[in-house]
Amino acid sequence: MTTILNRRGAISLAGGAFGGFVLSTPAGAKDRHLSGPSEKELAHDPDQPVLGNPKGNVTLVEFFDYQCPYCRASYEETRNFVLSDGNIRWVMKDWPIFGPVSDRATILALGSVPLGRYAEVNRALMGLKGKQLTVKQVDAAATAAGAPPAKAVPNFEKDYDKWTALVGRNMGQAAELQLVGTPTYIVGHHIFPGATDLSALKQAIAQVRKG
Amino acid sequence: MKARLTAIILAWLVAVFAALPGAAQQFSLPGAGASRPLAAAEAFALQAVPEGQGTRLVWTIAPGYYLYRDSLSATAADGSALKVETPPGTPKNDPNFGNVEIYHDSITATLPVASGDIRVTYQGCAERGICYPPVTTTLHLAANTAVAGSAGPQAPASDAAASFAAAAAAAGAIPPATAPKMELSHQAGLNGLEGRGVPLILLAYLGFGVLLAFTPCVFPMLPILLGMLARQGETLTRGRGAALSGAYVLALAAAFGLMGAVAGWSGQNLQMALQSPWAIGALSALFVLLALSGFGLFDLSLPEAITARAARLHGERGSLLGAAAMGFGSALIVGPCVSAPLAGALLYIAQSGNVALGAAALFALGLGQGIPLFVAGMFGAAVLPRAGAWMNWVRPVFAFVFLAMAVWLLSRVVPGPVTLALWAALLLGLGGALLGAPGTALRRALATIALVAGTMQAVGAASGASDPLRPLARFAATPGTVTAEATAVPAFAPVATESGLGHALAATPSRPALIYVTADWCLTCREIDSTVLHDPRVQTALAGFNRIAVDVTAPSEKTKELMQRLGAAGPPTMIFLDPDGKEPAGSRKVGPLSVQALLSSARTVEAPRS
Repeated sequence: MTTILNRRGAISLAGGAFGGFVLSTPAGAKDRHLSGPSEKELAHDPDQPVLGNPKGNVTLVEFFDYQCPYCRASYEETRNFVLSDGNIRWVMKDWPIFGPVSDRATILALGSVPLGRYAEVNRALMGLKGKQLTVKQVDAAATAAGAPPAKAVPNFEKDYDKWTALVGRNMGQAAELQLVGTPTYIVGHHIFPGATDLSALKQAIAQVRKG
Repeated sequence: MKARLTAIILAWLVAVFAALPGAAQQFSLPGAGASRPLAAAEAFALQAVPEGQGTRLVWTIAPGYYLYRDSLSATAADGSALKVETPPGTPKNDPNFGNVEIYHDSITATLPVASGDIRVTYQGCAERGICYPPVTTTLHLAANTAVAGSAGPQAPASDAAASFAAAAAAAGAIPPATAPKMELSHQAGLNGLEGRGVPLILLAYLGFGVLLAFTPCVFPMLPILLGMLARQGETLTRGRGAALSGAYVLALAAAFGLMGAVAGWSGQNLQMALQSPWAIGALSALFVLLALSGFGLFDLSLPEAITARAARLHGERGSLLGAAAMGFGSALIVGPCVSAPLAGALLYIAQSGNVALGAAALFALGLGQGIPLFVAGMFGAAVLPRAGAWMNWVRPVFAFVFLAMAVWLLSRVVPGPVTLALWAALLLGLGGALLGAPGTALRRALATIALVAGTMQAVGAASGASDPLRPLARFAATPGTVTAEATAVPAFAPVATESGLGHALAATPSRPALIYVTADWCLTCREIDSTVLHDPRVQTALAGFNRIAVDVTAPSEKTKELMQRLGAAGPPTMIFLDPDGKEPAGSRKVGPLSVQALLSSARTVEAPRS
């Protein structure tokens, strides 16, 4: 009996040795370390459409919701930075937290991938104003960007398994990384919760490039 | 095909190495503590105070944080919406926000009820620029008692996070969800045997074993045993048959007993090892070897040293020992095969930590499996013809059976079309062999059947079909039905760690949850995915569920911990939690399950409907 307890104890201790930093550190303490999804899972999910330069040498990951006001407020600035740099893979991971209209926006955006209009639809949706959007608004934005719901929704449904699994992985990663909400940016191993100064992201990107 | 198997093995290796502390992917939050957003529990603290016929809900909102007025809602225990009286908020009119009303500092709303279990949902953001997913908390209201919002029972933990959680809970906040809020009931497949007498447990396992004996898994042992008896030739009597089968069955049971002892001692999940692609691959290879030997390509015999030693013993004892050795080895064959039912047994033993009882229970299980074999051995001995020409054709027949077992096992780790191709090769080979042999009308009929079936499997393989029982499914399906089917599969959010599970559960706490332990190599899981989860009734029933997948395809230290926390021995395991995080007794499903079984478990965690 003692042996068993000891063995079990040893197992949970071994686990705590590298996962424990997270669990035992209340918010507000010094640097927080999290084990989580691998670099590849996080930044190079094969089903994830990539903005910016898909062959870029560094990845900017952003967890976002199409109705999250802070995500939209920083969108154009982030986009200009990504495009002017020219060597950044911008991975916007759908994490719909604002209800059915956010779900609809995600469906339209992912359904526009086979139409080759993902970047346009993504930008049009992020350009909408107001915290609470309506289905009408997001449908109109997608249509204007070249992906009418009559085409985008069947596209999404055709690959339903793929897209829902992709969003499911995003939500799983958000949970694993204990992300608080949207937006959250990740560069290399650094997590930036909430609206983040571009200078901080630039610095982290430069650091990753230095290796 | 091959690439996939390699990928699985690679993924497994990667996971094993990733589990080593130094290799783990680490993330950090740069910057000082003050710049980090608070946990939702600290940002929005909820307290309920009874007031006359109703209840006051008071939120204390941290400076720099705000709640959306339109996000506040409440439902009664029966799921019906309750009217929440809210005061006007501060209008926030910003190009990006539009026209919304928000609350800072604190806000008091009123509910028209004073007692019962009420679920309150709210959502907010921080001015610093981050929005939280909706938070739902359950209030257990009793008239005239003030209560703090509670997110259900806390998992015991000894680290600082727990005391932090306790402090937050005492302050009326919702505890942070680092530990999954679950109240588990570990009664899977064991039918409440805990607390019963030892004889009853042993008897139950014996009966369980007899049932297992009639699954395809035990079938390959029959040719092994009968082959052994047939080799006795002239000396075979009923007594001799009974002695040999007895030795075989006892050894088989002893091997199971050993497995039980190891499970009881280590508390670890043997099933995972038994179902690894390595074990499956090795076992298939063994079957192929046995088959080739059956075809007479070579003689499979034990090394000289061992046979010589056996021969030095008296002839009878020697063959008894041989029978025992084969019985012991057979357990290794049957083990991975009956893993799903075995999981429940190993789970119970691992949890009880009782080595002696574990060993005894699995010994009884092995004995139960052996009883029909023993009977077959005893009476088979009497009816088997005495030596002769039949020995020459029975060997190839067994060889085909062994090859079929190899394909069947491999189908768990190779993609569907490869399985179909293997079946095609086997059936066409069988048909050819039957045609080639001089024979009767019956033999020709069998040959024709085998050739037709083989051709269908080959066509199916070429078309990319993956179900050997429906090789031509690809041709029957219209694009329309494919879409309808695809649309319907419920998505599961995958998690791999305990805290990941905690957050996934906390994301939608007002809903019942289904935690599905699954793996790529788990054949039963794939059956469940392609049949049970596709059933429209199941989709309807699970529509309101928070669906979370624990994928143990690549076992690591993290997944092991999580499995231990869940009390799950292996895939497939389905754990149903009600909106309060409680697992109803007897609702857990381990192993293969039917649509009805899933529906009945799902019903136990749904909010009662009025």
